[in-house]
Amino acid sequence: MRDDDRLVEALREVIETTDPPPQRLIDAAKASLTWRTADAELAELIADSATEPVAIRSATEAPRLLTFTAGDTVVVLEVTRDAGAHRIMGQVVAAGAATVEVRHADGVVSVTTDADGRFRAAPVAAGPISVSCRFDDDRPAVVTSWVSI
Amino acid sequence: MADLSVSELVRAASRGDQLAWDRLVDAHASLVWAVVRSHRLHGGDAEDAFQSTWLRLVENLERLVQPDRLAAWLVTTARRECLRLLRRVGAELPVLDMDDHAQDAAAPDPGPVEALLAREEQVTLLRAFQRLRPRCQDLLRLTVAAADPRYTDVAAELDMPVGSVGPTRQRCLEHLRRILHDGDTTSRDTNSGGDTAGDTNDTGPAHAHPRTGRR
Repeated sequence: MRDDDRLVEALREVIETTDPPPQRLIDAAKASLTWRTADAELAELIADSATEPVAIRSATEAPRLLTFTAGDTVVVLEVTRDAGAHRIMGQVVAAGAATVEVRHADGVVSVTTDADGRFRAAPVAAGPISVSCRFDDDRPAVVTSWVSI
Repeated sequence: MADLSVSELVRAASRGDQLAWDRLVDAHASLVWAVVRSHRLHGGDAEDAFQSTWLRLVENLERLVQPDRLAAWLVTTARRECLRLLRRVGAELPVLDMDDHAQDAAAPDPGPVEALLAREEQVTLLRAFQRLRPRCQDLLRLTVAAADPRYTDVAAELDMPVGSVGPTRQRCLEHLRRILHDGDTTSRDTNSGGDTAGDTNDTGPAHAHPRTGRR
């Protein structure tokens, strides 16, 4: 067993030297704590058109449709690729207006919804995104889980 | 802070304690990376999977049911992120069971990767490791990356019965040792001998992708 431990230890050294997680990614992971939203309800992804079988997708490049829910609140995002960046049209299905923040790799796009809960946000960088919705009344904020676009 | 347990660090991080969070990331980055690599993800996809895993942890810090089992949670989450990406990419799903050989008999290029290694014996060990079957590489990579290797976590990641992880890991280590002893000029890492049959039952089909393109 001692021999195994030595071998495993030597292997650990070799792997950590030759294929470590890139420092840039470790730094990004550390920085991601700033996205923490205390006391917000988490809206989970329940549907994603990109994971549907190819046969039922349309032939042209249709926008990607993402649906999240938290309790009675539904957040729908329609993501369109637009010259490198992305454009998002969305709707927060909940009573009342909301302030929406689209959080992405290069920053935040902040918008307010119209009377029907609709909003547009652009440009949004490729990579993980999450949308937070704050309501004008005292309902808790809703944040969607992160999803890569 | 040095003597805080993982669950105490999780609790501190969920209150916004950056130092606690940094320590969690440092302690588990290699483990998450090992999961990503075991899915043959490279480049932007590997980065996406890695990054999404930590973002998911941020959003779930207050919701972890067993914060002391953070390693297991990260392994499961990283795996899910990888599968999600692979599903999206679609065509790049690993091809199963084409060949049991991780590498052809030719030694890998003594490229920049090996220049990173200070000692000759480390280069030899790396070459031997690269000649193991991919399943063995994955299993060893995961067990060495986990600060506290819990076999159940590794099993979940590799779709193996928990009871077979220990024995299989043992066989992989023996195999590695055999390649080291035989030198890399003669034998290939698997042959039609008895040990292969035993391995196959436990580890399932090997992935065909050679491990290339690594930094």
